Amino acid sequence: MTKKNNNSNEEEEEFVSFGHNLNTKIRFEDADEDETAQGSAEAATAQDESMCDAADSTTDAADDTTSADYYFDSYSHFGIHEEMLKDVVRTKTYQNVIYQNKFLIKDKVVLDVGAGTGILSLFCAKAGAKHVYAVECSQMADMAKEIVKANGFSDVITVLKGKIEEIELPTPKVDVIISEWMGYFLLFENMLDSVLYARNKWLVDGGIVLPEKASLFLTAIEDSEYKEDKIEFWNSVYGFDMSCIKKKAMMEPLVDTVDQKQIVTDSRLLKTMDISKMSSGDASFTAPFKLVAQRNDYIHALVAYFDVSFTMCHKLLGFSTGPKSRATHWKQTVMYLEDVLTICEGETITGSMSVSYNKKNPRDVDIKLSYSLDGQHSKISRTQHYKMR
Amino acid sequence: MAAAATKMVKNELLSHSDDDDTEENFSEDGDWGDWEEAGVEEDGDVSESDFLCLFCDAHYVSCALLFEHCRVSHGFDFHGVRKELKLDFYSSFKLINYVRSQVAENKAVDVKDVNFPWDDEKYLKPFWQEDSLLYSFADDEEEEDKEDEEGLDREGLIEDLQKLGDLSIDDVSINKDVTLISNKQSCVDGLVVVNGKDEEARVCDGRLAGRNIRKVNENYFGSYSSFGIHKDMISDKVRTEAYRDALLKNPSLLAGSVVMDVGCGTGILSLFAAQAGASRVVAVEASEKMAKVATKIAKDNKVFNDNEHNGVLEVAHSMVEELENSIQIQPHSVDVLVSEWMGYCLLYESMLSSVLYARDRWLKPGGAILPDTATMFVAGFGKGATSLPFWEDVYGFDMSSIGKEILEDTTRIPVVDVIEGRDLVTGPALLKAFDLATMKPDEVDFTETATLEPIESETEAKLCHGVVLWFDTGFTDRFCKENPTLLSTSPYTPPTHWAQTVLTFQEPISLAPDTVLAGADRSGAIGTEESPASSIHLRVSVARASEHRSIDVSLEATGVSSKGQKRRWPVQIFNL
Repeated sequence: MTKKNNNSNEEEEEFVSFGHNLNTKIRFEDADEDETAQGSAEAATAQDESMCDAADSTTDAADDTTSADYYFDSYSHFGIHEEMLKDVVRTKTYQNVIYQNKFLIKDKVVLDVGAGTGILSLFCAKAGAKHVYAVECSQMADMAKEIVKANGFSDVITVLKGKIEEIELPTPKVDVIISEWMGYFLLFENMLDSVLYARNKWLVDGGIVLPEKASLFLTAIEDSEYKEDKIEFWNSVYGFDMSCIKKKAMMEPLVDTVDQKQIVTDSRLLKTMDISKMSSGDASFTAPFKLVAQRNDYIHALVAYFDVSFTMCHKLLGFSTGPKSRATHWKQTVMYLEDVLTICEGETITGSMSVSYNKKNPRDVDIKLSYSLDGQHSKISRTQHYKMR
Repeated sequence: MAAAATKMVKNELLSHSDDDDTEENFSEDGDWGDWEEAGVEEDGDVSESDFLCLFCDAHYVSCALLFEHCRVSHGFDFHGVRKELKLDFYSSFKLINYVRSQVAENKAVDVKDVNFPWDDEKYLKPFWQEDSLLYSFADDEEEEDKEDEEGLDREGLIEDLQKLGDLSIDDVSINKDVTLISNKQSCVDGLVVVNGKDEEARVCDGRLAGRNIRKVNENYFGSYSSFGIHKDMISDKVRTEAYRDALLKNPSLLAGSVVMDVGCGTGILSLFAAQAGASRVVAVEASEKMAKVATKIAKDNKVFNDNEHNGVLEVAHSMVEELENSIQIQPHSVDVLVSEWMGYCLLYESMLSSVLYARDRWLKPGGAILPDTATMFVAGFGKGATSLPFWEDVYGFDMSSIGKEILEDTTRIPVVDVIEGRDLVTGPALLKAFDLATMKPDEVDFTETATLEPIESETEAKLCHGVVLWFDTGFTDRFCKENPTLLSTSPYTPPTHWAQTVLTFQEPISLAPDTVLAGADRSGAIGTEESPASSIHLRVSVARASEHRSIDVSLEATGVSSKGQKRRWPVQIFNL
């Protein structure tokens, strides 16, 4: 390892000069501040949740750093979009919907809610839309404008920067509303409300919403290894008992990819939402379920996933984010059970799941899960609460 | 950085298909809820079923047959190579494109080359537009279960609903202690972009607003939020075991001593200290939530000390600067000060000033500070390909403005990423050494120089795209007499949750060892491919920014030719 001093004088130096010196600083938020300086702080929304400016997120006043000081990390923001664009299941399905069903789009006025990079708007413009309004509240709106221009669609696509609840559309009605609003567990991040708002305000009678339907499903899995790693881990940390953390850890559903081999029971539809008709309150619901074991096994967690469908297409299109389908960036949502259920083939887990939005922070989802197994080896009833933040 | 960007996508989703790509209709998978499957036809005639051999003109209807043919007729065992070299989806994808491109140019395909010649970002772009093999080779392994998992049994469900009636479940164990735990850390962490191949770096993926990433993957929503960061730190074996060894394997230092743990978190270090026989352990934690957790854990492990309990461990919910307001403690009464204070790039977020305060106020003269040294290193990295190629063609649209924006951003924003030794094009250079036992608080702001030299064994010029920074902290024999130990976050040693910090040059500098440069006089600007530099002089300044806990890093690079001529690039400022 050498450490030499820079001889600044001698030989000729050649200076490389660039156009302008990029001196703008982008500030990063404190990674571990909660551990140190700050006092108690309430849930801050992840950057992705508040794609829009921080003023959006309902964070506690006690949380100094997420108030006006919150700056967006543009690099990681692009990362989100890259990940979503690279999610072939997601993006290609929308592309197929639009390109294979031009009759839905051609000569129509389209509203793209939460446009991001503008990819859906671009698809629509290419499919012959009369005009597309792409609404995006974050800084990505600026990039979307540039992209629209670079691709020669400036006269077809108008990018509007702002929240859908606050912008003015130059037209009283639109024929089509298109949006990719789904979050983890379908409802996390709650962009659905924005889509419904837009529908109520601007969609013409008989207009269409893409996608039109979304359904949430539940199934049960064996997951001893992972549960051991994520939850039981706290029982003995270098020999110390940190199990008090375990209960708290279990309350957070895990977004992860489930191997279909882990599935022990059948799947149950919990709820179907008709985006063209539902009201905002319908996203909060209670649904009963009954899961039937397909083999003898142990159950460590319940897994939720969703699918979406575009029913207005000539040929039905859509995709599923279930463990038996091709992977998407949504993966699945895993809720670990306090108990390990020993289940025999044919036995059933009955229960109900209640989903609602957190009152303090409407982007967060509260889940109440009640389950019961009256089987040969396990007789258990329990209710657990989960929070997705 | 494309390398960083592509790593963000943790699962195997890579495919930026062209506009007119084969129809991939995902409607066929899974269940569809309300409507019947009857109306949906299978797309049997899609060209996906037509795969072209890697080496010759043979066509196959299945990947399995194609690869079997390659193995038998061309001596290339694709699956065997994948297994042997443990290639993941990306690498395999690149391998196929590499093979196709080599074959197209009548060049040899060398899979024994340890440099992994296919491991280049350019091979992420399909060599052929319609290469269905790329999208199907992995399918062989997945058992695509096409059967419906559930043709929605509406009648059955309605029946069950009626039977269930009032579902009364005993609220057996609603945990009354449930307090809303802030998950701010995990979400907020994400602002520093971190991508990684390993578990340890996942903490940062959870932070990725997007993805990844994940992770981003992995979870830009911080799937395992609240305690995720603590789990990640504790799971970082390199980190935790270095501290454990320092505390448990140096009895002459710890037995009977008074220990202070600054920023204790879950209290793991304090627990080690208590285990090592300390007579008193003061665990200081400014976060109310974590102080409560540390207290509970100390109680559960029977080491807690208060009016009711008779242990050695006290938890003070306080900033270390105000400690005397919370507990009884005399200045200069602590024998051993321990803290895990290091942030990204060592100094980001740095609790170091608090640690030094504690050292100057609470530590006995001659008392031990663990760790007692911290050293920063720097090296140049290559192949830092950008994600430009991806953004140039997104489903047929030109989104290159984003690629350019990212590139610009990385010349101003540090990227936290796991860099491997083999990604480096220079040897490491020592940038700055801190003696934590004696340094003054102001010394955290510094300017230092270092010289980067190309790796001697290189036989050609390499492009240096920027520098990588990392640190080591030492628990030296100054205090750890029985078992000194070192915690390293270098690219040559197993990765930690700190990964490394990457600063990208505005313009890459071509670099070659003198042995390669010797001979002909080269014309052209130093640092270009015609006239590579023989070394790079760096001038690095790190200073605390006005923004709380933020740091500014300035980087000035000068390319030096083998004759001593210099070419200096404008200084770049990074804010972390």
